[in-house]
Amino acid sequence: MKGAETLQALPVVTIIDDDVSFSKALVRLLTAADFSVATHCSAQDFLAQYDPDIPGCLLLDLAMPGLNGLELQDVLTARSSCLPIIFLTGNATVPCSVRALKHGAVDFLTKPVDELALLEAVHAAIAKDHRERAKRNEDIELELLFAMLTPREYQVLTHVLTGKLNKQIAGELGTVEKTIKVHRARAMEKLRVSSLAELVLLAARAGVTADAAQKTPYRSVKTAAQIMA
Amino acid sequence: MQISFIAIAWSAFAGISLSMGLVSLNIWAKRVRLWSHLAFFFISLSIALILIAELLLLQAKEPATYGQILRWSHIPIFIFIASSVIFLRIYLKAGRLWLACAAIGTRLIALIVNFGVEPNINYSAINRLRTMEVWGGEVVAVAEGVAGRWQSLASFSSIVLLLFVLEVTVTCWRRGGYIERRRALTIGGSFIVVVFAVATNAALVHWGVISQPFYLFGTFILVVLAIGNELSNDVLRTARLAGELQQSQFELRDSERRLDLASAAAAVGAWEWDFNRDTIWASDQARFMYGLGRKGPINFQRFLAALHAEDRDSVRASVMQSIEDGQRFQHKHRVQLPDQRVSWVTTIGRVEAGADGGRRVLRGISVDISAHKLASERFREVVEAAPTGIVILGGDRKIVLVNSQIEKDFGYKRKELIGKSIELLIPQCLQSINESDPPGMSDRMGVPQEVLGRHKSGWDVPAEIGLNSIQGAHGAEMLVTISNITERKRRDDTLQQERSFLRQIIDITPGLLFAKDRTGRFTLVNEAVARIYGTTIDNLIGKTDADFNSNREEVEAFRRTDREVMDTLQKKLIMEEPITDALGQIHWLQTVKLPVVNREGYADQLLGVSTDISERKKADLDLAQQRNELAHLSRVMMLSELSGSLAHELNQPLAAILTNAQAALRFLGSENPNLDEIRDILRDIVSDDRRAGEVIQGLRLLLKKGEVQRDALDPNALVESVLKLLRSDMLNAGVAYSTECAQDLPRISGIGVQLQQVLLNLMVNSCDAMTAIPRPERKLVVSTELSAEEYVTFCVRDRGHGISTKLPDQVFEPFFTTKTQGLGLGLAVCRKLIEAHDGRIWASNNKECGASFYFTVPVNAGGAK
Repeated sequence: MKGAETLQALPVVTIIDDDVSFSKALVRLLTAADFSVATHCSAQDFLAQYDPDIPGCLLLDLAMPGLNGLELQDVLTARSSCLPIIFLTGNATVPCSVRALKHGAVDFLTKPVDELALLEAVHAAIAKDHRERAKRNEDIELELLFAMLTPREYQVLTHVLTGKLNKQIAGELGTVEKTIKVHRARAMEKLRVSSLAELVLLAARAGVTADAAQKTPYRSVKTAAQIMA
Repeated sequence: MQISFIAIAWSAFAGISLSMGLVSLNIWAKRVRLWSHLAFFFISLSIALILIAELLLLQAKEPATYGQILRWSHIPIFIFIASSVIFLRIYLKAGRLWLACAAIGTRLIALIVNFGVEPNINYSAINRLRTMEVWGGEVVAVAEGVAGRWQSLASFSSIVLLLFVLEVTVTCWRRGGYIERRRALTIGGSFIVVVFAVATNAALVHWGVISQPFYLFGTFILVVLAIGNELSNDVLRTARLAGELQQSQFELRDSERRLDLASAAAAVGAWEWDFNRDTIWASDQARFMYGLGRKGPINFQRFLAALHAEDRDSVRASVMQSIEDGQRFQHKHRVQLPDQRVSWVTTIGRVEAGADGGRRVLRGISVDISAHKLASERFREVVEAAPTGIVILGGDRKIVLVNSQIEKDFGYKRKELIGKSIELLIPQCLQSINESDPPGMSDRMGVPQEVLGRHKSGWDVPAEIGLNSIQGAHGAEMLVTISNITERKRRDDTLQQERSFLRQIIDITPGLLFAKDRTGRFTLVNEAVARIYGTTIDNLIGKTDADFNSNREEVEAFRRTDREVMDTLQKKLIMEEPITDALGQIHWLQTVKLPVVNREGYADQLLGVSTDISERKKADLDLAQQRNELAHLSRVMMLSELSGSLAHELNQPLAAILTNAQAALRFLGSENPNLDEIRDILRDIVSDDRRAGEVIQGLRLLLKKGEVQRDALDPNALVESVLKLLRSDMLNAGVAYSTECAQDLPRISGIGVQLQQVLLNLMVNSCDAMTAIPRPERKLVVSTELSAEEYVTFCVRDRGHGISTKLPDQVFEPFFTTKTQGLGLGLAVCRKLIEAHDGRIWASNNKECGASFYFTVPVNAGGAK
């Protein structure tokens, strides 16, 4: 699988800054700190070559010709990119920094930046990226697991998660207890759980709740497809 | 018939009378002027006729015939009486005219009445003729009848006649003189006798008191004889005189010719007036003088008519006076000549015995004094018209002549002064004269001196007198001219007052007033000049600037403009020039210099007016300083607005430096430091540091205060420097900027920081104006170009919302703002700055969208570095 391959790739610190001189200095520093570094002088340039599978982080300047840092952040969010962003700017303002952090920036550093703070932030970002990417892979697996259930099995399962007895579920769904029992056993088999407690734990990890499951029975399928794409 | 004695006698008497009458008639016919002879002829004729009538009466047969003859006899009686009266009047030149007229008049009435009644005036009726025998046995007729009612009228006329004759006789007698008295006696006497006798006789006969014929008529012959005697005497004398005349004729003619020559040469006319005969003889010169013509008789009336109408009465009076008292008469009078000229003639005459010894005549000479009179008249007029008082003093120093100016100045009448001492007018005058004696020897003569005269009313009359000795008709005289200088003194005083008034005005004027001549010497200065130079006005006059001003450059500059003004004759305005005062302080003057052009058309002086504009200049400087401070303030405000952007600009190189340095340290910490890499790093550090320095430099310039030095600036560099400052700000604002700068622009003259500020302001505004439009459309263009009038035009064009006001230039008004946080001073300050640069700033909306702001700055003319 493609996702599995990317997990093994080396993290790359991507610098986007219109100030060539500064980005050159950054490259030197990060290289000296044993990071792989890539530079772009504008957001557009970066987006043109953007590969979401490359792990690492973004060192992003705020003020740039064309798209500025915050706009780029929005574009990446819109693309569901989970690449951690460290803003590194000369003219940081409180509204800007708040906005950036609210939108998921890892850190907001001001130029001139302290070497340690920068490297720490970069490390943290890469670690976060790593974590995120791992978590994301797990989620995809869970979703794939749940995606194997039939709609009826999923439906029964949601009722089970609310703690209802088979008899009650059969009553609500207009069927007999026996049928519910079959669906329930098959679903637990597909989900590779042996007890109700395991099932509940797995469902919680996958973010499947009784309500959500009832309302969006196909969400996981779609999400999975999305991830696969 | 027997010879009638009466007839013979009466005829003889008639014959005698008639013949004597004819002799007189003959004389009269030869010499028309002797009217007395004609009168005598009529007397004789009438007497002859009366005698014949009387003879016929005496021999009358019928009463009717008697009456008729008596009636007709009244005609010769009337003729007798009329001619007698006329004769007496003419010959004796006596008798009152009214009496004469009465005598003739009453007799004429009687004659008319006589022919109106029957048979005549004497009788109302004649009853019969009585014959009576008179002596010698002759029988004569005597009328018997009733006396006429009008008989008394005839008698009355006779009485009047008698009175006339008496009056004539008495008058003639009274004249005295042998001839006069003889004539009175003979002629007057005979007439009295005849008239009395005849009248009495006739009256008595007619009233019938006595009864006798009128043979008293014969007494008439007395008259004839008496007159005849007198007339024959005249004729005799005339004959004798004629002989003498004949004798002296030639002598007389010669002497007359000589006299004429002499009198003509001397312009003297001789004349003689026989005032008894009223004939005037005049020499040719005299006739000419009076315009009487060469020929023709002259009498007094005609003479008077020749005179000027105004002088006639006085001449007549003077002549009559002279005739009366026998004194010499002298008169100056005017003559009205036929050609309308008026000449002046002086006449001297005296009553003298006439040529015939007995007759008195007025004889004299006349001299035409017109020229003399004209001259003296002119002299008098000149003296009278002279605006100066003129007094002539006689030898005794008494006034003999004054003119009207003296009367006017001193209030005296002329007659009050003549003969008085000059001391009356000028108390010190005699003293002056005495001091200047002997006349002509002293300088005081002829040199006017100021003295105090005294008016009649007692007040002082300031006067200027001049003394001149002149040779008058009566020896040495003194001509004193007295000019009343009251007016002049008053004028002098007024002038003096005006001068001091003007002086005050000149001195009170805060400006500097001065006049200088070609050598630079002051000819006039006022207090203000004296104050500046720390001296007095008197000290300044005649000195030059160099004497008071220690600053040679200033003095030279003054001299230069002074000469320029005087040479070109053009006035010059010097906008400002420094002058160092006595304390060494510099005053700034604005000066106007005018040439003072003389008659020859060149200027030897100049007039200058300077205003001390030090205060104004200081105010100007203050204003400039204020403007600069305002500019600075607004710059600082703007920079604080831009501080984030500027900090970024500065931060960027600093950050790069720090990062590079840290990287270098890391490189150095490795086992095999890559020195090339480190060298690169250090090179970058240097360049970044420089970059940071530039930013700081730019900021420092913008924040610098009191910078007013004008420089020659490259307009495009100016644009670049501002773009550099704004770059990050425009990045933040998402504004894409570009420049369209013309190449090879000349340098402009301006204060760099202020022009940067204007550009900065316009660009920031443009960026602000574009916040509402999508980012890709935010475009700003800065352009420069050389405009025709030696100006460089800067333009900042945006694609923002444009200017919403009707008048785009309104945006330059103070406190005009569209920004929520703006003060609205930025553009107002920009306009102030550009105007201080002698440039112009304006704005307009673009066709598509947005606005353009322009401003111009003059090209550097080489003044600034």
